[in-house]
Amino acid sequence: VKATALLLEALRALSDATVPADEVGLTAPVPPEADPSQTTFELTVDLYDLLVERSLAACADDREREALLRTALADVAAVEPVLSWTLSDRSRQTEQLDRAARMRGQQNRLTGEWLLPRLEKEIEMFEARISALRASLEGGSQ
Amino acid sequence: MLRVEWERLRRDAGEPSDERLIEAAVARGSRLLRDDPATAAPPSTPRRVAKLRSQVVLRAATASAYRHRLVVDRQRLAAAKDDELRSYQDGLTLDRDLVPPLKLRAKALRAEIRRLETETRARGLDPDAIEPTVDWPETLAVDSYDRPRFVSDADRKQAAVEFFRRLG
Repeated sequence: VKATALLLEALRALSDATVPADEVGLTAPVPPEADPSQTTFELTVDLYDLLVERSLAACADDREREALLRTALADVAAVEPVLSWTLSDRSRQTEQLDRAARMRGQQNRLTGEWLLPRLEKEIEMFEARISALRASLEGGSQ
Repeated sequence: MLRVEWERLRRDAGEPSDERLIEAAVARGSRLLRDDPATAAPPSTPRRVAKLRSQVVLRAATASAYRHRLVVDRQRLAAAKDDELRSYQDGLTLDRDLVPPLKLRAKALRAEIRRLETETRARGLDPDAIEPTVDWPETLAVDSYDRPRFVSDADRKQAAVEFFRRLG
């Protein structure tokens, strides 16, 4: 496969969010105080830059390079906003589900830990009262 | 980084070793993030190509970061869905199977107490003198409670069909 095609394939593949969630840990020589997410982003920039450089090197001239980059830009520009929107939509959905589960869980705990024992206690109290009233009526009728 | 992406980049870069690819990437020092794209590129490259290259690389890295979060957060969304469903089912069990029988039992007992107190008074006795008494304002008001009706979608559809069938 031509190096130019590899670049376009790699960019188009970014739209696939159904890939396995397996990750690789990459060790780069960075200062210990470096922010890991920033380091990862910088490394990703450099990795894609390497790929772009390899693809550009396979082009015959600057006109071909420009055409390749324009196609690549169009491809990645089509992918990035969709991923961004999906990410924000999924985050919102997750947050809503988390909130609903938390609130309902609180309601369930209140019912299970307060209402049920309270009803059981009142039922016991009512039964004791009924027994006492019945005993009194039976005693009064004797 | 996602394994699938790392393996693709390593394969496309023609680097058999993880370490060598990382070295090659780190050697660039993320200059695209720091420098003007035109000056970051070799001097022979026209300015337009350098700028396009910078845009492609930065947008690819951004898309990669979005996808990484999306893929990793997939498990979080699935867990949130499970939690929400579990809390719904727990709530349904409480509201349908556990609370109604107790409330109905309490309601029936309250009615029975009132009936017995009326009967006690009718016999000339003072029910308030009979222990244990009930502090009514402190009890849960369940006298007007009715068991909730749970209607499924299928029930609703069936009711609509029967309604229109009756109309002919």
